[in-house]
Amino acid sequence: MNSLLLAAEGGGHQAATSVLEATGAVGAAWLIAALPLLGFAILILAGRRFGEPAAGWIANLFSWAAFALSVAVLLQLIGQPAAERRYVVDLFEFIAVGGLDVSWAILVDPLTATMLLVVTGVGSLVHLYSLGYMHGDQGFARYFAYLNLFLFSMLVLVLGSSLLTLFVGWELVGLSSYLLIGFWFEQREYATAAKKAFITNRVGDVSFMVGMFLVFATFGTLDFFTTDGHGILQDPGSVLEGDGATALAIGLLLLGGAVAKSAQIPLYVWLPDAMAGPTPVSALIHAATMVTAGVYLIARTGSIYVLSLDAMTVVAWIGAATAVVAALIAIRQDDIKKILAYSTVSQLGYMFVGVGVGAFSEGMFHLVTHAFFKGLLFLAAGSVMHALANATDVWRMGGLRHHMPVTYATSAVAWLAISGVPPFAGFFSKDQILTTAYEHGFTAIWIVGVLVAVLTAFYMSRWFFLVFLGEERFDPKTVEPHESPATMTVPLLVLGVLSATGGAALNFTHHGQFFLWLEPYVADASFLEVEGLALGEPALIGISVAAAAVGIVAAAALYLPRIRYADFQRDPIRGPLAELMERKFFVDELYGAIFVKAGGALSSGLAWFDRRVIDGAVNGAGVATTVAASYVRRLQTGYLRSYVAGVVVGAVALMAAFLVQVR
Amino acid sequence: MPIGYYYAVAAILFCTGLTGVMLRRNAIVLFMCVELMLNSVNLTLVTAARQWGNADGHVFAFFVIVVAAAEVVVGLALIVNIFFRRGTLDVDAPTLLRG
Repeated sequence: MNSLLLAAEGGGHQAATSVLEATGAVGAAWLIAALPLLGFAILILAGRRFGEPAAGWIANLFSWAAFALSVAVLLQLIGQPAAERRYVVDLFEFIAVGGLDVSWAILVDPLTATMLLVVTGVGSLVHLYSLGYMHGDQGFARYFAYLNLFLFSMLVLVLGSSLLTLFVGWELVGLSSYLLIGFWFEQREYATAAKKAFITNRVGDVSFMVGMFLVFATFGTLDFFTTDGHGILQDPGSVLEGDGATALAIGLLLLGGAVAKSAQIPLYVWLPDAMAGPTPVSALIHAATMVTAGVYLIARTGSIYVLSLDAMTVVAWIGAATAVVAALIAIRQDDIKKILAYSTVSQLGYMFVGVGVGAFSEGMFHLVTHAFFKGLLFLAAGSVMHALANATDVWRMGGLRHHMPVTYATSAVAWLAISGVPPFAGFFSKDQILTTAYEHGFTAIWIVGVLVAVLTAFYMSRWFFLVFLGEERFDPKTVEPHESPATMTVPLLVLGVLSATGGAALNFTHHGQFFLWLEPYVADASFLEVEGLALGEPALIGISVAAAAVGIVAAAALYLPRIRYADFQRDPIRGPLAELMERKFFVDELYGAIFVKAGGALSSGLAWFDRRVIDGAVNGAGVATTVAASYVRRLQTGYLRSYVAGVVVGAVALMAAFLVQVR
Repeated sequence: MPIGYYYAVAAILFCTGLTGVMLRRNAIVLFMCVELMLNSVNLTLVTAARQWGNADGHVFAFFVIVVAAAEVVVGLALIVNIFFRRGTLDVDAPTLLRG
């Protein structure tokens, strides 16, 4: 065991700084990522031969194996003393150029293990669910190959032990999400959505890369933790020496990457469109994994963020603004998946608030519980669409509780969980973020957070009421709702249990076991704590619960009496603001005008320059030569004597010049 | 005899040859005129050598004679070929290279 320690003093440190050499399951942790890669290789090469359902089961096998290994890693970490749970496992040399020496290593600590379990756990459930959902699809094998590739990408991301290896996973996630969102690429609209997601993410990637350059210029390395204690997250304060501007710059540049991946303002626009992908993909990418990468990145690099209060404030306000805007848009959406998509954006805003106000553990906790209930909601939405022949309009649903009891019951749990009703999972995590925001002196953000809690409860209740309760508004002649097969209901039930009990079981009190599990391995932001606040924790909890209650009661008052009528197909909330919400505040149109139109104009300008000026110069040179030659060629008369005359004249001229010179 | 006479003869020979090259069209005559010019140069070289008491001019004259002999071989072969192909010795007839 090669352990070494740096005393943790003051802010900017993580309590546990020792790096251990790996043994046991941790030593084999690279297999967690390698297994899905193997699955992908097999399926992309020979998937068609296996066909349905064998290809799906192969993908499931690798996915569940990765999950089992993740559990083994978790158990090993739990078996260690709380301060000795960080391992760096060197795998091979990746890049060695000049001063840059990046070895491909994997980092295993409680933060990674948490992500591993969320990714492989929800990922495996989605694999299982997809067996039923993708039944009969022409691209069955290709779908599962992509699913395994996505899992691999995400695992590379969370296992990366340096910014660079994390970035490789980051890019792979971008690629595989592109493949999955555009899975039904035959439809132009879906292919466009995939492109939109990919390009929006590229915008953030540029920011991430510049951030990496700055980190390397500042620290001389990209490794998070090294055995000799020079990793960028081991005491960055001593390297920066109070240089808040550099910390702010690094923080904002990395944030630029995070807002793209995690769909925050101003780069959230790709996520709602990404609902084009198959619904289980939405559950995987947009609930549990890809979009949480940004939150993970900020939680991981938290020790740099805590060096700049400005950077943290920006993160928190971006989260808060996104949470409000997305929640408002979600209130007036009609598509069963779009509501959930905007809800995801809004909940990710909560996580950003969490990591922004220094509530790193709480933010990660919300990430976990959100993976449970939002994964469940998406899968339930998929189940509903499966039952209604792919209908997505919530105004054409209703009364499904009789037809789909399992989907109905699990959705009810998820609805209560996301609304923040105790004792369901979402209540604990959301409340703990808000409490910490308040205790760290971000009162305005806390108020916004409570407001969003009301909105969340409202739009999720609306979603739930319109889909499952009341009178049937679909056409019973054309569709025959039925409960989904077991491969789909089992994941629903598992996630239902987790959504119901996950919060209480993991972190019943604010400083419960999940908090203690992560606390030594995330940045210490306790210096933000403000003394002598007006409200104590019980009062804050009371306010959170009241917010949830207000939202649900308001939605119940507005929708429950009306959904008894089969012809209720028009939203009772009207007016200019509602119209604005329904049109998503015209953000897409705004971006279209600014970036797409302006970019198009710039491109056509450049194309004109290329055609006229650059091609013109090249062609002009050719034309000039031809024209000049048409005159010069006449000198070649073909008459010998004219050549001779030329020679003579030249010789006489030379001689005359010579004689003049001599004189 | 003054040395200038030699130069005068050489100059007359050269000008005769040059005039011939510029005015005549028959390839054989043209060729002979070129030889005339070459020999006028030989005469100049030899005269100069005698005048300055330096052997370089003689050596050069022999070089010119040898090169002229080689040139006659190539030149006559060309002229014969042109005659066989075109049936004329007129040097203005071949105009393939006219621009």
